Amino acid sequence: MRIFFIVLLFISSSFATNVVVSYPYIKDLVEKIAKDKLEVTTLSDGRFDPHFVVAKPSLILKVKRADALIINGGQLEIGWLPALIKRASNRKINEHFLELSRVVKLSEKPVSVSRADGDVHPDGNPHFIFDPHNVPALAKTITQFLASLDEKNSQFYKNNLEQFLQEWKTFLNGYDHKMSKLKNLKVVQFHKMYSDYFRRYNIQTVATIEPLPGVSPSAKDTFKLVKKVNSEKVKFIVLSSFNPKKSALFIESKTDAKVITLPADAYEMSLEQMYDRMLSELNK
Amino acid sequence: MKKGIILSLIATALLADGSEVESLKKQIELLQTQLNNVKEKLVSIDTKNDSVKVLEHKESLESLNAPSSYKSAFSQSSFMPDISLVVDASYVSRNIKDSAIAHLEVPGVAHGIYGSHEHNGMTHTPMNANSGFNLNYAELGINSSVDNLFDLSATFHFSNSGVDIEEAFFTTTSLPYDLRVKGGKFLSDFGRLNSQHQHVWDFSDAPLIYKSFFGNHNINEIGASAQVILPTSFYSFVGFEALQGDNTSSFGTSAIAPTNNAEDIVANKPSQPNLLIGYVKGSVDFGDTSLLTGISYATAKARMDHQGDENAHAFAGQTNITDIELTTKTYFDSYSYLMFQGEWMRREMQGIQYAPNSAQDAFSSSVDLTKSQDGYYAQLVYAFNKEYKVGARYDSIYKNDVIANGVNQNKDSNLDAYSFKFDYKPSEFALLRLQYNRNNALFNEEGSRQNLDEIIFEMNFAIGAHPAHNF
Repeated sequence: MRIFFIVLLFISSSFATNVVVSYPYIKDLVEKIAKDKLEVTTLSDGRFDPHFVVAKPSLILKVKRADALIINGGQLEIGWLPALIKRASNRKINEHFLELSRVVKLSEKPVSVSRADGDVHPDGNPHFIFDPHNVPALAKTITQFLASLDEKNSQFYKNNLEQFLQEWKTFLNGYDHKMSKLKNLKVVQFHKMYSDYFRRYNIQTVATIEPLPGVSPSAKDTFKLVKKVNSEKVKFIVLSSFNPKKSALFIESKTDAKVITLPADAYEMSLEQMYDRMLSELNK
Repeated sequence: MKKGIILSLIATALLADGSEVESLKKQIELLQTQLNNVKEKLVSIDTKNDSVKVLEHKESLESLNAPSSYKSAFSQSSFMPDISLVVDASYVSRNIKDSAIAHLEVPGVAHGIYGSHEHNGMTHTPMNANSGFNLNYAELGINSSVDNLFDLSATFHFSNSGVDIEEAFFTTTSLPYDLRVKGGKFLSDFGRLNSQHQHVWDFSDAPLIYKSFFGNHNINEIGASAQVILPTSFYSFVGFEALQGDNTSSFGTSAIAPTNNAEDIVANKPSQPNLLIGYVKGSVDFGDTSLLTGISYATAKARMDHQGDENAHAFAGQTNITDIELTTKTYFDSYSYLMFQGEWMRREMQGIQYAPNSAQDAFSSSVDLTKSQDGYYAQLVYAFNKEYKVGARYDSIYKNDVIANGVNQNKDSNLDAYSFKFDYKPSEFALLRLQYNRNNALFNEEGSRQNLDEIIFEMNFAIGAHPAHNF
C-alpha cells in the first residue's frame, strides 16, 4: 500500500513549471516563446465550441497542477472555467494569472447589454485571435508574463520573442498580400466568430446564421437568410468546425453561396497553419 | 514678403511699356486674391487648433473632476457581487387527488413525500406539491470573493411558505496543499445528486431513494467540510463533513419524549455535530467519455419525532447510509451527448421505536427496530443538440427489511418508479421540461398500493450572473 502511494506521488509530481492555458492557440504562442523551458497544458483541445468546453473532472486536476494560468478572457471561458477553478482551489493561479483580452481592443463592444439580444459578450467580441495582427501584442504580453514567472530564463524568452516577431512580420507580409485579393468578398457567418479576421481584410459579413448570439436559427430565420444571400451575392457561408451544418447546407442548396469550414482553434496545428487553413478555405 | 513682391512687380511695371502694364495689373490682382485666400486659411487653421486645445483641456478637467459629489466619491458599485435569480414554476396533473397524496407512504421507508404538510404550525410545500400550477421557488444567488483568502456564496430559497437560507457558506481559496474548507449551511457532497441545485437536475424531482431517505431538501445542513485533491495520476478527491444532522428523514437531533410530557425523556438530544460524512471520488477519461465514480458514507444518531404524524411514533437510535455513484458522459460534438447516472444506497437503522398513548403523555410501547433498506436509481439522458434532450429514469427500493423485536415485518420490497422527460432549452437561461412519472412505491393507510401517474410541465428561468456548468 505504501509503495502504491509513493508511486502515485512520483507520477503526480513534475519538476518543470507548468503553465496551463485554456485553448490550444495559447499553447502554441507560449511554446513559441518558452520552447522547452516550460511545460504547457491546454484545457480545451480546440475541437469543440470554445464557449462550451466540457468541464470534465479531469480538467480540475490540470488546473490544480498549474503553476500559472493563461486564458483568452473577454468572458469566452465564463461558462466552464470558473467551476473548474473553484474545485481546484489552487492558490498559485491567484498570483500567476494572465487574461489575454486585456491587451487587445475588443471589437463590437455593445453599448448596452441585454440577454434579449442573445448570449452577448459584454466586453466585446472575444474571438480576437483570428486577426493575425493581434498576435504580436499577445506574444509580447505572454513574454512579459513568462519572464516574471520564471526570471532565470527571462532573457531567453525575450530573445525568442524578438526572433518570433521578426518571423511573424515576414509571415504577415506574405499573408496580408494574399488576403488583399479577397477584398470586398461577401460572407455569411454562423456566429460572429471570425469578425475580426474579416474586418482586417475588408471581407464583408452580410449576416449571421444565428439570429442572435447563442440562439439557434429557426426555419424562418434560414428562409430569410436565403433571400439575403441571393440579393447580396454572398460567396461563402462560413462555419466553425463545431457548428451544426444543417442550415448552412440548406442555404447552399438554394443559392450560389458555398459552405466553407474554418478551424475553431489551432487544434493539432500551429497558428501559422491555422491562418493558412483559413486562407485556403476562402480560396475554394 | 508680400510687400517685396508688390514692390518688385511695381518696379517691373514701371520699366515695362503701356500695353504690358494692363496685363501686369491683372496679374497683381490675381496674386493679391490668392494671398488673401492663403491668409484666411492660415487663420482658420489657427483657430481650429485653439479649439482643439480648449476641448482637450476641458476633457482633462472633466476626468479629473469625475466624482462630482461625495456620494459618487464613495460609490462601491464596482464591488457588486455576482447576483442571479432562478424562478421555477410548474403545471402538475395526477391521477390521485391532492388531499389523498399527502397521506401516502413508502411502507417502512418514508411517509408523506408528496403534497403539502403541516409541521410545527408551518406548511411545508415541497416541489410540485399541488395539482395545477405551482410556483416552486424563486432562488436568489449571491456570490463573490471576500478577500484573498475566502469566497462567500449564498442562495436564498423564496417560496410561498417563506424564505429558506438554502446555502450560505464561505470557502477557503488559499490554504496549503490545496485544501478546501467550507463552513456555513450548504448542500453536502454526499453522493452525486445531493450537492446539485434542483435546476441542474436532469429530472424535475429527486429519485425515490433521495426523497425517501432525505426528504425534499437532500442533505442540506449547517456545518463544515474539508476536501483535498489526492495526488493520484487521475482526478480524485476525498472529503470529510461534520454537520448538525437535523434532517428528520433519517437523522434528527430532538430529544425524544412524549409530546405532552416533555420531562419524561427516553433518548437525549445527541451531541452536535451529529452527522458525519466522508467520501472519496475519482474520475477518468476514455477519449470523449468521462467517468465519475465514488463512495460516500454518512453516520449519525437518529432522533426522529413523528408523534404529530398520522402514524404517531418516535425513533431513537443510529443511522448509517452508504452511497455508490457512477456517472458516464460521452460527447459526440460540442452539444450532443449521452449521459448515464446512477446511485445505489443502503440505509441501516437500529434503535428503539416508541408509540405514544392516546393522551400523548407516555409511550405505550417500545420495540427494538432494525431497518436495512437498499435502493437505486439509474437514468439515461441523450442531448440531441443545445436545445433538445430526452431522458429516462428507473427507481427502485428492492430490499426493505424491517425487523421489530426480532420479527421481520415483511414490508413490501418491490417498490419502484419510472420517469421519462423531454427538455427544450431555447437558450442557456430558459428551460421547458415535460416529465411523466409512474410511481409504484406508494401505499395508502389501509396498506393497499396506489399507483401514481403524474405529468409535470416545468418552466425554469434564470437571469443575472452567467452560470458555470459543472460536470
